[in-house]
Amino acid sequence: MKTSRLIVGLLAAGLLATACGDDSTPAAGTAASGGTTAAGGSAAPAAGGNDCKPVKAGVLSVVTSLPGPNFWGTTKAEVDPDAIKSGIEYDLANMLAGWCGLKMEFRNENFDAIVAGQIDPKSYDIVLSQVTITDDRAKVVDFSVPYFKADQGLLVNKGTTVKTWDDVKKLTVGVQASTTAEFDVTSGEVPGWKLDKVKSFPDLASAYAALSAGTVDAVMIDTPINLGQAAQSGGKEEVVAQFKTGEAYGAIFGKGNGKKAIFDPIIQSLVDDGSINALIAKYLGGDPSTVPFVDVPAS
Amino acid sequence: MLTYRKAATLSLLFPPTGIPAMVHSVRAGRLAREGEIESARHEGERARDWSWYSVGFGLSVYIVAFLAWLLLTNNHAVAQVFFGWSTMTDAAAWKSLLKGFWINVQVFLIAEALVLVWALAVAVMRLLPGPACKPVRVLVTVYVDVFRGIPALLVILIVGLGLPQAHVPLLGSFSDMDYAILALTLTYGAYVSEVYRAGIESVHWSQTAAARSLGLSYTQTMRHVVVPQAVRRVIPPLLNDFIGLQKDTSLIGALGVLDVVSRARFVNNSKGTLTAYSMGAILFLLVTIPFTRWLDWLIRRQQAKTLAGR
Repeated sequence: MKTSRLIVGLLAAGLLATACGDDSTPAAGTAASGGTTAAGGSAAPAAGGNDCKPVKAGVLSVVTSLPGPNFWGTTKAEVDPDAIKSGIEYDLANMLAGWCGLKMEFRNENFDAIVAGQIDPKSYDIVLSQVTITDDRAKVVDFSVPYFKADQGLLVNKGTTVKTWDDVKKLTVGVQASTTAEFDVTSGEVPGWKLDKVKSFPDLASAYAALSAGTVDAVMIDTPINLGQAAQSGGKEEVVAQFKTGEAYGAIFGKGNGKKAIFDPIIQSLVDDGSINALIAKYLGGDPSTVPFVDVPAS
Repeated sequence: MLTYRKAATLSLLFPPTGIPAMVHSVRAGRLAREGEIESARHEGERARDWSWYSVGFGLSVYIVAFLAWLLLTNNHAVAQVFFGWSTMTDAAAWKSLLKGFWINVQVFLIAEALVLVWALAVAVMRLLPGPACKPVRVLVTVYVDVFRGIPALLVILIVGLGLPQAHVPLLGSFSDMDYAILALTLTYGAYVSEVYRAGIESVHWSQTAAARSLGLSYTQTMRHVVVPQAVRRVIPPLLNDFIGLQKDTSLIGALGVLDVVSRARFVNNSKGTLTAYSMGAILFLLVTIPFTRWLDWLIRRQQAKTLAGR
């Protein structure tokens, strides 16, 4: 009866793993309350004590979709999602938690599920995941006031010149799946934007690897993100052009659960007093306004 | 043909063994002309042997050289992207990946245990006799067809992102990892149930006949006579499917679970490389290679036993 003993063994191993692995919460980065980490000396938000009605007592539950380079984790040493200690949205989340007088905790979720409104609103307070505000998404989730302008930038290997939209059309352009860049250049619903040669990648690292390998000529994503990559490339890559979209990132709240009314004023004040601009300058280095705009003819 | 001249000439493509082959071939030709047929045959055979060495060694050397060239070409681009030394030697990166890999291991072990039980139940249900059980058989057949036909990634996404919307009491408290386990169990349950079924059907009908004539009921026959023999027979193919299951745990990152692949992505983004993918691959190999070796040994042992039993 070797057979059944083997099966019993496997079963036991499985049960053991169940017992040990009960705590299967996907991510659990935490930070001390009031962790308004250095935002370059800009005005810190008012001290805690505002009632933010958190879903979990004492904690501001934040959702994001990793990886989000420069937004959640900024340095090459930050290789463990549980130990993220910097980033534009990481710092923003801590500012908001500090304002509420709560501890900040974040967890990882699927990006598609976030923008489809599929994350249980009772399980989080706010999503900070570089989500572009769109009308379609706003039907299933609540967006905060915009906190980050996101025109589309084009990152190329040094030596590629892009002066007009016609130049862009000749290039094979890499985009990240489910981003607005992908929608803009593939859907045909944005006048003039449709490109013939587009490759879609599951995440940005793959798209950037494809650029350095030469299997795509350019990567299109929000200008500030591409600037971050250009800075990391040590001069091998540059953002040669950007295209006006009028798009901006917003935080996401559960549809109609009242969180928007609580957080909109504080987010707006962080935009107005320059706190968020200071974060962008700190982590992205480049100034998006220095990248030349190229018109997209609506034909 | 005696001199194997064509083979020797071709084998010159790999000179280290090609040259001896050619030398022997030329010598064989000379001996043949001088009428030393026996020595010529001897030399010819040696030319043939060396030609075969050319095939075996030459091909291997050139394949390895090609792979090395792939790594080193374009200013070491591939080597740097996939085997970046600074990432490979970063203990924190390994630790982060191991944390993720532990989740994969847990998912694999739990799903495996569930699959073993669930698939056997499905197989038995599919083989239930009589018209009364027809609806069950049809239902189970549909399940097997549907879940064998859908890619595991899609099952994970549908189960993991769709089921929570139903707000079913028990499922409502599931974590993302639980959904991943459920999805993998459903997919692999369908595969493995077919393995079980093949095993059950391979037990000779005379076994059932003998058991029934001894007065055992259908259930007793299955429980004590058929299933034990069937399971023993299907252990190797069963474990083969589990290697697939081990690897498919890499898909659970789609649900937001920070498994080894999601963490590799994160490391890659922070380091500006793809090296963490290779590191994740190494972790999988460390588990799957010993497992496959063990499986091979198991199959060999089983064959030896079966043959000895005849």
